[in-house]
Amino acid sequence: MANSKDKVTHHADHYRDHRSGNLNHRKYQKEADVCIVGAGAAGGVLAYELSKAGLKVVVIEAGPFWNPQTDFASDELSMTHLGWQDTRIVSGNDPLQLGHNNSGRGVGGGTTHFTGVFLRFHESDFRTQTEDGVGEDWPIAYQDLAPYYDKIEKDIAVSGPKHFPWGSYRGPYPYPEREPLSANAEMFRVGCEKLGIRSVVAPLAINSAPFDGRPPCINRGFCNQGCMPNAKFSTLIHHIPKAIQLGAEVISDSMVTQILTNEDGRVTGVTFVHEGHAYEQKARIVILASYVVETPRLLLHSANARFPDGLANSSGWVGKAIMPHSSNDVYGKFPEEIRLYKGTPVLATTQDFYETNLNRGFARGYTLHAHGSRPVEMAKGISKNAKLWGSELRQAMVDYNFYGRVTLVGEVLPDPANCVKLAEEKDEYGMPLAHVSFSYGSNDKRLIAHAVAKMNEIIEAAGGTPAFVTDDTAHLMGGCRMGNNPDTSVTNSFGQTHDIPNLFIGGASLFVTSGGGNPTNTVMALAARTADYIVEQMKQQAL
Amino acid sequence: MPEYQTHYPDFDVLRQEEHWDPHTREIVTKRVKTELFLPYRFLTQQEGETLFRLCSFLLGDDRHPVISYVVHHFDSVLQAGIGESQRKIGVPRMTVLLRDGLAWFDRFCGERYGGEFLNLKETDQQLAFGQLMQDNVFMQSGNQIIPVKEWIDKILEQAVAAYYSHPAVWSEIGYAGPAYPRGYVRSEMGLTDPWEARRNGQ
Repeated sequence: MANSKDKVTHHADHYRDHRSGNLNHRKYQKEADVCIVGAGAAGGVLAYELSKAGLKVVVIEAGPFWNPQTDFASDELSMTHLGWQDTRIVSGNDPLQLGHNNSGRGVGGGTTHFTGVFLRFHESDFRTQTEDGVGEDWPIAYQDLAPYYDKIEKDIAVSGPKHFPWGSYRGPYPYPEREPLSANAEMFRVGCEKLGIRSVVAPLAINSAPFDGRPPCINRGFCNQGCMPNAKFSTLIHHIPKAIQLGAEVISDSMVTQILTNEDGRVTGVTFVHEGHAYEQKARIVILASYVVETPRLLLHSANARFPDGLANSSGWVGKAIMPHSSNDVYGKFPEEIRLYKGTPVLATTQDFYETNLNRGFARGYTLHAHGSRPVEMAKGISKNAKLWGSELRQAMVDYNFYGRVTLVGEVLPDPANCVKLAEEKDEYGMPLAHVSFSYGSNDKRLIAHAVAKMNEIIEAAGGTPAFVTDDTAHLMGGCRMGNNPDTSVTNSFGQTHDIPNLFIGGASLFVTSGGGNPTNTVMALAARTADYIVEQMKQQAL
Repeated sequence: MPEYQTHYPDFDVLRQEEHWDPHTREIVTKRVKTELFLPYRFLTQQEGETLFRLCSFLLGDDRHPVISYVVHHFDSVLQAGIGESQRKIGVPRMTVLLRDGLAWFDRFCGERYGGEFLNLKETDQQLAFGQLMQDNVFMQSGNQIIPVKEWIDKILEQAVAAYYSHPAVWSEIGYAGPAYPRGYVRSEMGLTDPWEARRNGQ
């Protein structure tokens, strides 16, 4: 059990000596104020902010409490387990690749292996229906989130350019932009420059100078395998240790299997399973910060006589309108070595194609990144669906060092047919597996085609020859969208479910549209806003 | 197997292992210690040998220590029973699919070439493998009829992940790999740290 007097430092072993294996002697066994399910981007921020406000917080995390020094490695294969590997059934015309591609397992969640790209959404992202006649408007505007973006970026010392040319926030970022760049980022910027496309050094949740006891980045390149020097922010090394110092208890290796409700239709806590034994954690408020697949799964699986279609699902929108980003990669071959393995994977970015331009034949837009890759990722990408194998695959990879790569992060419009539901097959806990269905819409496909053509142009302008395009997606959003109308949304704009006032949803599940850029900043800003609301409501005894 | 011309004949990534953190060193160096590979736990010997040949075709490489690591890694994944991250609806679980596919392939070879795959001569093995990679070939697994491609995709995905994690392959492609605690200092175009792979004469 985590003791609030323990000194939890960034380089300490968070696991050994910091938690008793005896789950019958928990810190807030009788009742916590808040029980948070999931210790990822949203769960970490919620745990920290709510503990800071003096609330008794318990965080329950399915995966381990990692120690970066002994659990992480500079190796792609062995670090696959930083993703959620439990099997999900996938269907649709474009079945999603899940696991390490877009989810996390263990304290820190996806932030342990995200690339660190830290972008804000633009004003238009919150009103796509009004502006472009597609998607839905959010119940909040950019201005509602702006102070939380400011706060999160400052809290973790985001590094970035002095001037950012797109969206409402034009910089400067709290910490200076990263240098030196990688050869791949230089290639990208040269290509953009020749075509008159503006580009910047990417805003990153990666230290460009010492911050909060953590060193600057050493360009090791393994952001997606877990940062060993702790230069890259994650909630594992930032929010969670701070939350523990402020009194929170983090229960790792424990799978929440049920949300409990009483006769008044309020939640009373959760059931979780640790090493085959079931335990109950009572709480005045439960927050699901368990991402886009597990949150609906848990709500649907917690159905009971009073809530026969699952909790918080009177609208029927639980699990609906999930969205990935389209994330096709273009590999181009160059006469000189690029060495995609070196440096922070994303160091250069353009958002010149972010806003709707109807001359392009589709609504909404996208971000492009220079994007490094280690050999497994490249070989998996170019061999996917047996496109390349045998001697052709080997020949391509012999030239690995001569490839550069550009990657798309493209908006995908919400469609209720893209959804999470329960499968027939059950897991080791007796819970039905999640069934995740996804197909691109026609607007999505036109956007991808435009972006791939643009990525080819950039590579050619930089002196390369486009060689391989891989179909890929990144990130997940939606599935419990927020809204003002309880008939067409699951929560209000603070993540409070319309049906059950003391049940909240945090982070990515709340997204109404996907935006056309990396979502982590928005996930964390939304979580900070939810935390503020909960503290305010509790002060007023409304919760 | 055709010859592949590495750009970096003098580069051996393992010469740098003393500069790697202990956890990474332990994980990576195990992959070359064939004498420490455990006997198969999920696969039968015959399944393992067939898989060895299939992986060899799929990866364009028949170096025994490297492909042997690939198959042993596959066996450990099948044995561990960890999730598959995702599985297409209608496709059996990986353990069932893999085993049913191998049995189906032997029947396929029997019908077309008069014997189980491992008993065919090399040229017939290549022909049989080539037919696998065509579209419109179907197999039975559990009570499902599914495209053989589903089976091949699973093998290819696992094979590629293990193969491109082997230090001999890292050396061949000039991937300098692990860089903790020292990191990369010279990361810009045209620059290399002294311990990275260099082309001949550079």
